[in-house]
Amino acid sequence: MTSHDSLVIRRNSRTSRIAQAVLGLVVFLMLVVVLGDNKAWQGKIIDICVLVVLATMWNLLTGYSGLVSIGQQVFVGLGAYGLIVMANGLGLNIYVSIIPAAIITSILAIPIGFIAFRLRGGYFAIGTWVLAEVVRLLIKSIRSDVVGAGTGTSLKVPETLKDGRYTTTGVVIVVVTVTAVVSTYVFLRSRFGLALQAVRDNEGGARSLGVDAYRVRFIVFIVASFFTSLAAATYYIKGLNVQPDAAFSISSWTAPIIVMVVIGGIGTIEGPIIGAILYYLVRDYVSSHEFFSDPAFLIVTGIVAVLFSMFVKGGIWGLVTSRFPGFTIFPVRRQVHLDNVNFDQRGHGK
Amino acid sequence: MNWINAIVQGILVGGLYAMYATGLSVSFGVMRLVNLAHGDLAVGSAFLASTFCLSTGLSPFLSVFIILPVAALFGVGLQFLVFSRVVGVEPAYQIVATFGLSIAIQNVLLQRYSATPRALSIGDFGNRSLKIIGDQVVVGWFPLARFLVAVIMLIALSLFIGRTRLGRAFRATSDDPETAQLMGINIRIVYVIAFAIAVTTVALAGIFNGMQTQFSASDGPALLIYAFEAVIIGGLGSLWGTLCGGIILGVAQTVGAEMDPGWKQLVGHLVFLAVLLVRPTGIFGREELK
Repeated sequence: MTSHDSLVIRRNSRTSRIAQAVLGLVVFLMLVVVLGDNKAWQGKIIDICVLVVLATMWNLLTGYSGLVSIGQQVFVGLGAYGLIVMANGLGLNIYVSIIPAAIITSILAIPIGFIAFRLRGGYFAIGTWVLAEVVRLLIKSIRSDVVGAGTGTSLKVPETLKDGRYTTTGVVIVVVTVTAVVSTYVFLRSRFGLALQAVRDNEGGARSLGVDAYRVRFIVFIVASFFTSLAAATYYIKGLNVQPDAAFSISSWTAPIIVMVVIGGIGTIEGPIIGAILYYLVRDYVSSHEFFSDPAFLIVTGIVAVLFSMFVKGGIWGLVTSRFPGFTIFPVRRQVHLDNVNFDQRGHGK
Repeated sequence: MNWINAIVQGILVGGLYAMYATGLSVSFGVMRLVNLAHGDLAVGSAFLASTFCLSTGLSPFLSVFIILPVAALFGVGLQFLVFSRVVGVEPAYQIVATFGLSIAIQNVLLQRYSATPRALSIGDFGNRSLKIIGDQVVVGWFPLARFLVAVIMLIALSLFIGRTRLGRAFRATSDDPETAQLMGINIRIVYVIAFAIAVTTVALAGIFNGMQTQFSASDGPALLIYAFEAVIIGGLGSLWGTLCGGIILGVAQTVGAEMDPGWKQLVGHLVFLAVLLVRPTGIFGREELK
């Protein structure tokens, strides 16, 4: 018997299976609420789910590929306008429209990525922002009744779909969110995910082992654009009004997303989910109790982002895992266990 | 011709953009820091200058002597308290920290000064102009003076970096911070000075901008983008490239506005993207793009 036989490489642990089951229960409860008829709660669940997807995708870029984008609003805006073009322009069913909207956005993400990938680090960040601005200005300059130029337009909901719009949208977004999170998890556990994290941790090293860093990152960029626009298009089935300045706004989309992920914990699957929920709850509480004015809330948010990136780099999830080492809901890493090995074998294994 | 006038005005605006871009270029060059709050610092300085002028009744030109030292001190404080903790760690935290700072500064300004635009009045001097070709090409004295200040600033800075002992420390730190430290350079001090220079130059640009156009609390991001475009068009690590990049951007914007008033920003962005596609290292940039 060689020493290798006694080493077990595992990812799932019993706690992670229990945590996954609890999470499944939460998803089930969300579906129950969405299928009910309380519009306020349905709206809350839709908003939270959208934020969870957006935060998860930004984290996939930043936390797992080292690409810090501050131009994610371009995919929100394109998703929104894709929905308008498909539903209002081509007369497709509003719920079906989100899929071609997301596919078109990910196709448009190819030239966007091609330009942005010429820049690195902080300059990549500003570059993505400039690209989002360019797309916003271009859409504003399109003279077409479907798009509605600078003032924007509204999604036309057919009479037959008016009842139960929140319910259907809610079910759609819960499905989109679960798909986005589970795909991220599966993706990161795959060979590809390993390559991605290798590139993030040491680009030169990963390259020398034959990883095509550019290609790996590019694919992630496209995947993130797909899910971001899918969630955004779903959001606008609830929101209805699409205006270029709001849909492509850095301060209403990307800025809060970044704050959520930083608070929750960059580079973990759990972090963005926790951050998004927490951010939504705090924001909801603050705005409904007129605790702070809008600018005051944003001042606090900005300062919190600075403080977390200085002192709490792992975010809230990082604090949890440092308190309970090894605990994880979505185990991405491989862990070596020695549990088949008894003391004698360990001593004389070699 | 209107086109010639547009180009001349564009060149003069380009000087201002170069002034914005200098700080971004210096802080990236020396400490590899991309400060996303760069534009907000400019707007903040302009508001401070406006408060100073309103409360003392003095000219905005005099406010410079008060605001710039304040800006430099603010830069030193920011570097010590915040950026020293994020420089050198994973770039993501650096970007998030400066982005958080940008959100905070913007909203502090919004809270304090409301969303109403302001301007810094320089009185009669702002209206005086020089007719170059009849009534077609008219150059304001103030934009001309501002352009000259930008050029003088760049000359001074490149002499400082190229010829002085401290400038040599800047270059060494930029090339290799660890080796620079081994050679006895205190890179903490280098970083503090570099960032103070960055904040001071962008503060001056913000005040100069406010003397000619209105500014409001939410202008910072647009100014950051202009500064960034000027840096990338000109090429990383080249101060003269930055001037050239600023001028190209300024001309693209004024010519774009001449074609259609709504195209000012779009044409500027498109020229930037074209340069990025054709020559990603910028016009004066060194070949390797770090």
